[in-house]
Amino acid sequence: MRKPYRFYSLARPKLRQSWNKYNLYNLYRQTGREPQIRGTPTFFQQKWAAKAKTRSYHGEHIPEKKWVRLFSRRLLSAVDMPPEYLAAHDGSEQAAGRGSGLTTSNVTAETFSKVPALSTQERSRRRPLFGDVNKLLSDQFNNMTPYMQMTFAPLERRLDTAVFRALFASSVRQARQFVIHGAVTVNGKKMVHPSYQLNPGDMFQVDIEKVMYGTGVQKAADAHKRLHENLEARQKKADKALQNAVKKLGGNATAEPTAEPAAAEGETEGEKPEADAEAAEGEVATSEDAGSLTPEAQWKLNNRALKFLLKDVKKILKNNPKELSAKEKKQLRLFRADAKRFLSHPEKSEADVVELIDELQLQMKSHELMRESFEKLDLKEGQAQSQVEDGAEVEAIEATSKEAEAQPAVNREREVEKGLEGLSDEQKTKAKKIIGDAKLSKEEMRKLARLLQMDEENPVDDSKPYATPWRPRPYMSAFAFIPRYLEVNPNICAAVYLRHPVARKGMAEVPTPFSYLTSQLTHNWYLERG
Amino acid sequence: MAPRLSAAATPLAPVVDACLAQSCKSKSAPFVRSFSSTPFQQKMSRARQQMYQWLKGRDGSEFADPKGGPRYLGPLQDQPFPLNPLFRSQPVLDEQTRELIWDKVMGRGESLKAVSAEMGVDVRRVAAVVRLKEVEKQWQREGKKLATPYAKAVMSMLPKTYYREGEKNLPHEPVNEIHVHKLTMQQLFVPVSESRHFTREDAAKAFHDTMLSVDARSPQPELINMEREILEGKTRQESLAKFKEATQKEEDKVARRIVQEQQREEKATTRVTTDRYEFRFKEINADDVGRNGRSRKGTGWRYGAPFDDRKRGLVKIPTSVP
Repeated sequence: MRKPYRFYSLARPKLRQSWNKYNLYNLYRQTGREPQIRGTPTFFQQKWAAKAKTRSYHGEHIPEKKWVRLFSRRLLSAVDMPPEYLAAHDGSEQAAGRGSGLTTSNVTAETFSKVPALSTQERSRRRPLFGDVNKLLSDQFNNMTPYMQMTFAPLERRLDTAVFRALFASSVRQARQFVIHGAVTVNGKKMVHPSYQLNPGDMFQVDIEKVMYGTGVQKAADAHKRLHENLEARQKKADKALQNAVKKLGGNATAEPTAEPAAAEGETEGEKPEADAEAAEGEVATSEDAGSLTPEAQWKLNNRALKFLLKDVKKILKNNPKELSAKEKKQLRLFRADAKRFLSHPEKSEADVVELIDELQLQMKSHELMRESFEKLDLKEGQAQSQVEDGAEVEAIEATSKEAEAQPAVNREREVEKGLEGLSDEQKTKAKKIIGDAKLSKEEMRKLARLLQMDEENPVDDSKPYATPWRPRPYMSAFAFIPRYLEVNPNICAAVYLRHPVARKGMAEVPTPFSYLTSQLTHNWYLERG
Repeated sequence: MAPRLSAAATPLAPVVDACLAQSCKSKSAPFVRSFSSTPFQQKMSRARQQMYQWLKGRDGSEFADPKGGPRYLGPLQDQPFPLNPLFRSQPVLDEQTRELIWDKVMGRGESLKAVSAEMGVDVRRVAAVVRLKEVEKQWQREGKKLATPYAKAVMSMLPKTYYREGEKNLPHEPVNEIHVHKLTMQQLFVPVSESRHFTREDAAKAFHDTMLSVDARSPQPELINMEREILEGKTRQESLAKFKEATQKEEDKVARRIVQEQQREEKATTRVTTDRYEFRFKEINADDVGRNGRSRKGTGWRYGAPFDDRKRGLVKIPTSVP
């Protein structure tokens, strides 16, 4: 049926099967209550009003004729019969002494029940209204089976309603659209009829993307503008810096292959770390493309790239992974993009986190190995050049890194200390920095992988029709309940319709926002008796 | 809905001017033009004002971004609808418990009824949990992405029941629930002598000759037997072992029957595999169609028998999906 004009209204409020905020507000101000009796409304008038009210919630999208056909005066209920009771008594104790004036025993099935009772704990904040007729009337219903609340139970069997009740859509109309658009399967077969009546044991499954779209925050037009700008700027800078570096390093490499890199490193480290970072940023880009370079220059390029790559990450890894700030999350995302670029993946590629981390680890290891081989060369020439500061430093690092490969991460610090014995304090710190910058320990690597995996679970993705990373839509929690006749697995957005909804003592399973009185009047209307 | 013009322009003329000025000014994007030139109502109605006041207030903002844990409108903790205390948001099984159920059934091979009795979960729910978990595992094997952020958010909003092995746990729901039969919903006056031992069986008979008693309609008759044995003086462990054995045997029987059924089916079919298709041939009996040729048991369409599947007025919506 067509959606009525002013579906959510504040002037003439109606309750709807929806998570809309207008609906929440209408629910809050008790829109569906029985009105104060003014004048003498006839029974017919009362029934009519109640029917109009309840039908605006239950199956408002279904024509009245169809609902009347579905209506059943047979209302289902169930009783808990604990096996302990059935074993201990054969029922004769219920009949004993009747009629002879004896008080019978107070043994019932209920006294054997071990199931936790419903909560009676009121939220303290709200003061109860004085003389709330609805409440006074409803108190006594707790001791009976509220059959009247089951009036609309046949509608709960419909596929669209079940999809809504399983929290896969934010309104019944949306659920209906999901069904019609072919996003719902029943027992693995596509079902496009929203009025399909589920049978006990039917499993229905909704397309995950649709569910995330239906229940997630809406997408804003340019939500990730800043992130994209950042990424773009980084890419641009990277390209530019790479060209510069290749030019520079290419010249250097031919002129003075061994002594220069060490000196250059010392210089950049001491004087202008920012400039270095910026240059390295560029080299993150495509350090492997620079095929024309000598292997050593290339290694240096690589080293700077790695150093830059891991600069922010080290800081992030120190914090608790569950309490990352927005900035750190952003840095993590940027790191991911950089790492992809560094490992020369195409930017849009859907590389798995595990793959990415593995590759990064491999890269680091080969990088380490290469360094060792270079440093052996260095050593020979270093001796010839006698005491170059950085040469000694490199030597020390070489020794330590060799040991560190074999040793567990805990001992590493000590090993480093031992290797650096002969150096001054200043040199020590420098050396440690070099080790620390271009390498992550196994522990850190694992932590990084976990962080990335967490980000991967709920990534920023502009191709999605909902706001990313996914968040539940506002006001969802007030409507989040799953009735017992459904068993839902939200991981795969699938649910099983276990049985028809039933009434039990003190509670009915049909979710309805109306009081017992209203439902009673409605039921009487559909019984079509006077 | 057409986008409305922004703020303080109530009379029409300035709005039009503004539009014109804007369109003239921005030469780079000549198509940027608002669709509607009617100014929107400046004053918010009182009802809307109140609504936003509530939504932005303490109560409303609590719903907008929940702090974790269920939060409902009603006066009671688990009551989603303020007017209806007869509907409550009942707890669902939490992630670990569902995993445990799956492990018990698929991993350790326990019977559904035994798991149900032990954990206080309905047998049907146990079966459903296992079925859904199986699909989930299959997805994981295939490398299909799960709706993890959604699941986390939803589970944080719902009340949950926990079951931890080796601890004292509350049951999730009654395991031996009996439907109230239509025949028993009437009030009966049966004159019975005072000395007679009038049991549940007799009561059922009084309602109808074919009416079964509660014990016979129970989904867990083995559990009742177990309790009876305990009352007779056996130890709980002993009778529990017996109960487990009985349920296991019953389940094995069902499994064997299904296997036999499949084997019989397989025996009756001849498979012929070509490079494109696999043909399956089965013997049929032409007499299955019955006297008028339209019996449901018959195979295929009889010549001359009309198809009803596209007729007007006939419901085409399937009533069951196999």
